[in-house]
Amino acid sequence: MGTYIARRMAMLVLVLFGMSLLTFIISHAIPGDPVRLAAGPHAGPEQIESLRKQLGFDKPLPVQYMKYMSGLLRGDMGISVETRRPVREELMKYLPATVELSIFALAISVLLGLPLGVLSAVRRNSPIDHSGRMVCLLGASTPIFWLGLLLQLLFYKNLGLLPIGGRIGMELNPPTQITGLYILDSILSLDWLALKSSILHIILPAVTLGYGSMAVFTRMTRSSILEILNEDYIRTARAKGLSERIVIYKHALRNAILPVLTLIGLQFASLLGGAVLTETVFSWPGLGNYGVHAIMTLNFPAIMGVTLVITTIFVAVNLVIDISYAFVDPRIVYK
Amino acid sequence: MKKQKSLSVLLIILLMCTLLVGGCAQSANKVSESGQTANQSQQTQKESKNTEIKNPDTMVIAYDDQPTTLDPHIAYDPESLTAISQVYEGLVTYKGSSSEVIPQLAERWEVTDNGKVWTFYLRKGVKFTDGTPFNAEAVKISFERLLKINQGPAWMFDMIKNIDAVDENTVKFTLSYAFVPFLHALANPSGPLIISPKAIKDHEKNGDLAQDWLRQNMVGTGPYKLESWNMGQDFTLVKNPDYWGGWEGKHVSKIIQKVVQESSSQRLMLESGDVDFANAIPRDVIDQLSKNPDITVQKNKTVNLLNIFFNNQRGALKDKRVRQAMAYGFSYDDCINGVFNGMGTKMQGPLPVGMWSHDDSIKPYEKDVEKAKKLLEEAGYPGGGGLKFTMMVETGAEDYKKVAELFQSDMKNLGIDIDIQVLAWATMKDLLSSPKTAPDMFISGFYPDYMDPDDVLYAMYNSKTIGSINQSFYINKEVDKLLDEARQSTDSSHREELYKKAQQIINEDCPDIFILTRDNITTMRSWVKGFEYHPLLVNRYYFMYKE
Amino acid sequence: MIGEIVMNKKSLAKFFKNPLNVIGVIIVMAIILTAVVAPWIARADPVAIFMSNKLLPPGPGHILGTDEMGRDIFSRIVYGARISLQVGIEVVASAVLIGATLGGVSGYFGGWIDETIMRITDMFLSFPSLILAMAVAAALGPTLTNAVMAVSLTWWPWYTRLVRGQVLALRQFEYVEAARAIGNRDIKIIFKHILPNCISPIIVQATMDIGFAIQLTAGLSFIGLGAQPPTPEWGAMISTGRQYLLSHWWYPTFPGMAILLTVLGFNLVGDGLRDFLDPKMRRAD
Repeated sequence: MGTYIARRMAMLVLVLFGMSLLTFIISHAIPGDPVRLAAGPHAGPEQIESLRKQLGFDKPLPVQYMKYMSGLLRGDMGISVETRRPVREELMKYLPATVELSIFALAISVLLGLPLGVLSAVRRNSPIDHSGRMVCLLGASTPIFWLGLLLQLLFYKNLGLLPIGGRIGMELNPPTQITGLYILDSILSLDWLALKSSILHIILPAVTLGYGSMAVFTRMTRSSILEILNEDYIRTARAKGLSERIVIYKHALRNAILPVLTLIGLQFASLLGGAVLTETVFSWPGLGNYGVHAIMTLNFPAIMGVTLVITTIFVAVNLVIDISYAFVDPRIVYK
Repeated sequence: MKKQKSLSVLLIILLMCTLLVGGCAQSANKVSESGQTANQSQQTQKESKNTEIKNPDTMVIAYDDQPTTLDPHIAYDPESLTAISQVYEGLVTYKGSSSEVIPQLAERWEVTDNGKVWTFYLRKGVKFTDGTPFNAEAVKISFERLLKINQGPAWMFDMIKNIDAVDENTVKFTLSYAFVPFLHALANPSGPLIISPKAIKDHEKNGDLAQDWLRQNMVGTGPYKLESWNMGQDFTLVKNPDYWGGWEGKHVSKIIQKVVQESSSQRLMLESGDVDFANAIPRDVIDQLSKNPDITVQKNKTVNLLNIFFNNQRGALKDKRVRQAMAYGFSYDDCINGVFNGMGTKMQGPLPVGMWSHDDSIKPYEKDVEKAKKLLEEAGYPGGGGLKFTMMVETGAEDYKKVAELFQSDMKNLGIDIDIQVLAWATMKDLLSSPKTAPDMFISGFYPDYMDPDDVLYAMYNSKTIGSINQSFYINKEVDKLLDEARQSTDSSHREELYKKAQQIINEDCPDIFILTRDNITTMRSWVKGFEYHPLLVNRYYFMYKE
Repeated sequence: MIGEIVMNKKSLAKFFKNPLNVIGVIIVMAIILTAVVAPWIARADPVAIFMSNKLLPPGPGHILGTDEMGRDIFSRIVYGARISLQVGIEVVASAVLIGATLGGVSGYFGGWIDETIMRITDMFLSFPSLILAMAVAAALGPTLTNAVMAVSLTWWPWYTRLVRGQVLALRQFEYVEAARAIGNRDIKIIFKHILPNCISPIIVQATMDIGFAIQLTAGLSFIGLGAQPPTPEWGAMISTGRQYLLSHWWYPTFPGMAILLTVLGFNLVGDGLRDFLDPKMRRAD
């Protein structure tokens, strides 16, 4: 077990290293010159060169990469070309927004998707199964901007129930920063007004984002339960005369939940990087928004930063899942 | 348990369905209502909407982007400048909507006959928000900082040779040559603003002139000061109680600049009154929106140019006749009335109509397909002759893209093939640094920094500015001479003559297609009072209130 | 045992017993048909500009209305079907080609080859796909072809994993052992005996992926990194049209519905095929 974890950790470092190199190459392959952009429209050649030097972009690429990597080891992710603030500092502001949104979206899609999946499996090929499948696949197929704007129209304009634009009402100050997650922070700092406002603000974007990934959970739960219902021990349980309800909820669900748990981790990581469109539609100040902006302005250090953070989370989540598998499921043997 | 779950699932399904159907129906209703029976809807809206003012003491502005920096000596984008000009002030400013320069931190000024030495007598008793007194030394330090950082707006002041603090309240600028539009440059909202010298000194780090600190902090003399900046979300200014201009009369005590990226969301928030201004409402929506009595749409003429730039040093485009042919082939009316909904003024030559020294005798290019074809034939490209060009447009600039598509379809009529490429501005900017890498043509706007022909003609058509603003790579020795001379002359009638001559030549050379100047459109709540359009588009919220 | 596709009458009937599968097949067929006969059903030129007709609501002459340049939205959607289908198929085909080859090699040979390929696969899998696609599309220059390449680049690892898993399972079977014993070359064994047996899971996955690939490419166009004007690409249409949602609802709505239906159609068919071919099979995660 210990050697397994050690090996995985080594792999993680390797993957991250490869990633950083790949991102570096791709982001520098984008044609264009961020320095020229940052120097302003009237800048002459000397102004541009001096700024280039100031930002360290005058060195050859391998040197820049080495410098970046050595900075990274010290936790320094470079300076944003556009705002000239440390990228790390900026990521710390944008990342929690996306994490919070992804958690909520995930909660919504799991809470809706899981029961729907169970139901679909139990009532296989019934109208419930069919309509459940339709609802899920609709979610996966609906363009996000469309769903987002319709929700805004309905809940903000027509019903006046929910606010839009940002994470918290502008009349309030964000809660004291502890984790950066507004909801958690407002609970920790006992700021109930901020809590209410941030919960109200997150509902619409979370529903928009979560609806799309609901299908993944429903389909997974469904097929996973169907599979288990065919297993011998379920047949035995049935043969023993246990009620169908006990069979399903006690035996089948418990065993079917494992692959679904895996999926939660993977889905969380993919939501982090996939929230771009939702963030745009709801003006959510998150990582996706930051990343798109970085690509459009060729802000190399910011592009690197975003990709590295998301990838690290993804890889780490994967690792945690795999390791926890070992504890949960004794059948898995690691060499 | 099972029953409960199936019930909840059913509920969810129902909710989803009503949501989709309801949403569609809602938007459909809305349109047919306001589209066909406009008057009726206006009536009903007037009755149904509550007219109670939301946030009466706060001005909320929806922007589709956030400021990039708060440093007045670096900032150059509208979001940053708007924020900055509520907090920082310059020596002079523009009066209301006019281009008349009036005192701000300077009470009066004088200039020597040779136009090289400017003396400003400063307002007394003004303090920065950190308590530091405003004086000649502060002016000197700020201008020196601007020139030393030498970014964004600094180019406007490269003729400053020396700055002297003559006494506590007198400051003297010595210029290396007589730069007539100097006063206009000083009225610009980007660059010549005065920062507290104490803040610069206290927050200096490794000789950075406090750049690091001033990027996200502000210490000025203006009516407002920075309260908070939540990155990516909103930006809050509160009133500076000690403002020298005083707080008598009606003002708001708070300004919030809020990021709302989608134009549809901006519209929803404006209609519900959660924001007072919205900056990204597309022109096609304006007519419909202006029917809502709660919303005021103000259109103002500006000098915001829109041109199609040719690469004057590339292949067939070196030939004046080819450029002229394309200028004659373009549908100006469709562009101005169709793409811009009539919210703009057609150009007559390279200088905006109405700007001082504009030559009214210039014959503008009009659509004349026959003439265009003839010119192409003369140039050796009968029927287009297989001409094929690449045209670049900046990502996200919807208007430019539409103009490009219109141009593409017009050129098809002449037998010229146009390939449109939409690129990130940073990429285009790099390509445009030299005629070798630049595209055959591209679309861009240009907003002069000060109201003087120098900032249009010299900036765009003098060969010295190739690589920065002369993006058509246009070189004409005679034009260079005229513009150089006009720039340094102090005799205004002589300048006018020189500029008129230059306009005639440039118009004839047709280095780019002069299309229109776009109107500025301000969409705001009707309860906003005291709004006055600023010629450089920097709203002054100090003069506004809600009622 | 991994199911082979045996499309006899009986199993077809079983597939079509599910109403959703029928709906899916109808949608997909309709879209393919639309793409094929586009010039016959859409009479208006999809790129011809008539400024005087701009933003007309749906009505006679323009059954789905016109856009901001006075172009017929119906024509643009119909021609857009060609583009979207082409994009979807190209992305999936190249992803399958790269992915299946690598997966086959990896699973068959094992050892350090397997280890290397799988680590590279892991690396690509852990990239945030939209951001990778965006960066690559931006690096290559914004054209539809480049967008297709960018999206394919994020897609192949899924097939590598899927095929590798299948191959690992298949290797154990006797007929592979037998083939090897009579001295067949590796390459022949992979292509003749192993890959054909991976086809059914690939088909299921590919059918679903066509829908998602269309969606992701439209997403790139939405951000401005895909199709260039005046190409009638659905994502680009939505991107320009979305600001008209509240004022001229038909403009973004119809292209949006086109994407929704297409993606839904492929999803339904893919999902149906999966249940039908092997009820136990899961998405190869």
